[in-house]
Amino acid sequence: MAEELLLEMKGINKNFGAVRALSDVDFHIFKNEIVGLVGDNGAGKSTLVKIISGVERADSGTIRYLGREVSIQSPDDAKQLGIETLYQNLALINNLDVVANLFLGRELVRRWPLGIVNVLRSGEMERQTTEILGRMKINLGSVREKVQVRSGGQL
Amino acid sequence: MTAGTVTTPNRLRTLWQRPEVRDAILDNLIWLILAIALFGFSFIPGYFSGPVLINILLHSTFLGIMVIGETLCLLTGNFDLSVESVLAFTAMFAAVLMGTRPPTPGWGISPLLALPAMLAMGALIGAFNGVCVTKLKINPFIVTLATLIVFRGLTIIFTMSEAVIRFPLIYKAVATLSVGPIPALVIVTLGLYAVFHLVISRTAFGRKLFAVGGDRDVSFAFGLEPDRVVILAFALSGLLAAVAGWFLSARLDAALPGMAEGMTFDVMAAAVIGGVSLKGGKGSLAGALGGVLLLGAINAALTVALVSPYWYRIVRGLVIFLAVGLDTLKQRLH
Repeated sequence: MAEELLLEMKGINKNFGAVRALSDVDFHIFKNEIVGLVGDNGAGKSTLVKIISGVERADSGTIRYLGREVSIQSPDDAKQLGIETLYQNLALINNLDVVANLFLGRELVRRWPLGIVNVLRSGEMERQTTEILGRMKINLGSVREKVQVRSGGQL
Repeated sequence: MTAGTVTTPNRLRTLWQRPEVRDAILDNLIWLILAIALFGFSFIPGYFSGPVLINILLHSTFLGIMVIGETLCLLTGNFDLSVESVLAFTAMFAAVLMGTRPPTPGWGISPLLALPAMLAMGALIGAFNGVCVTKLKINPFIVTLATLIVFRGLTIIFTMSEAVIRFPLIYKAVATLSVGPIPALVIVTLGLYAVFHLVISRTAFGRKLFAVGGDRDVSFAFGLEPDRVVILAFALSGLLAAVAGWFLSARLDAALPGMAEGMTFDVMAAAVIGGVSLKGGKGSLAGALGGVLLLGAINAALTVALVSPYWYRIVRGLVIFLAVGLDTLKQRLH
């Protein structure tokens, strides 16, 4: 197996007030490795994942990504590195349609010269959504329907 | 039962049960209400005349411009009560900068400078509201109620409760010009609606307004920077209130300490009756415009029918009640 480190975390600490969520945690993932993070309720699994995805910030410790030390301050930083998070319950915005949810936070836009206004490329996003869903053999009917009318399993 | 024997009421019910049909009807309810109202008002003698209709549009401009900003805030799940005070304060601010009446302590600054200054002032007050709501995490009701009161007070204290009258021509031009019978104010307002409609429906910022209003936490997790979106929405609301301040003072050729007092509630009512949800994430500017026109039509009806002005508040209160009731009902039906 190729022993190249993808993500390496050392000495991660995180406190929520008096509650010590993570104490001196070391964690690493090799390239092409699929890792399951297992633990009791309250063990700090989610906190660790939130730190990786930029939703929470560690109080101390270092994170290296492909050998380079990185600082993940926001979900946007994580995304820049190529870290995506799928949440169990925090996943969809109900009042938006399927297309908008799929492209949330990375909308395809046409930048205007001044760079102030980013116009959405709705047609292209809709086309890609249909294509992705088709590839996965998911038939949702209209991708322009708001997601709140769907059941959880459909998405 | 075969398809051929389905009776019409049944078919209507099936249609009603399809979510996209139901949404379309509920979201465009305002146009139905407006049509019924106009039909009713058509029995008032003299209602459907050119001047009255132009007047409805003209008086809708000041309200309408503030409703655009309010809609932006409402979409993010917030609201801005301070708009009427921002309108008055920025108008008075520009008036004092220009200093148009001898007894008024004015600085005689050119309107070409005073105008951008008043617009920037509006945006700044709005941004302040936004920062208090997002960074200091104060409830938007409290924040904008405070700015509503404070900036009304500042407007009054600015000139010790005196009106400032007579503005330079450049400042007033927007309110005096017209294209044929249609006042320039109406055209500019409709232009603003068109522009902001595109912003809301076609840009990444517009999409973020709905996302943040739909679920702030999910938006944050997806890197949408909800705080920035909310601050920008409030800043635009302040900016648009200042634009309304410019237009109204230009039209009156005066800045009055008490101008636009109580208008905030018309602004909220117009947006909500136009289908913009108080809970955030739902609504359109087209609907909000319908709400503005409905309030304008009602006001004109009261005027043309010579109803005593004492009744106006009662009618307006009932309209707000209707608007919020409708919002609640729609949420239950959705």
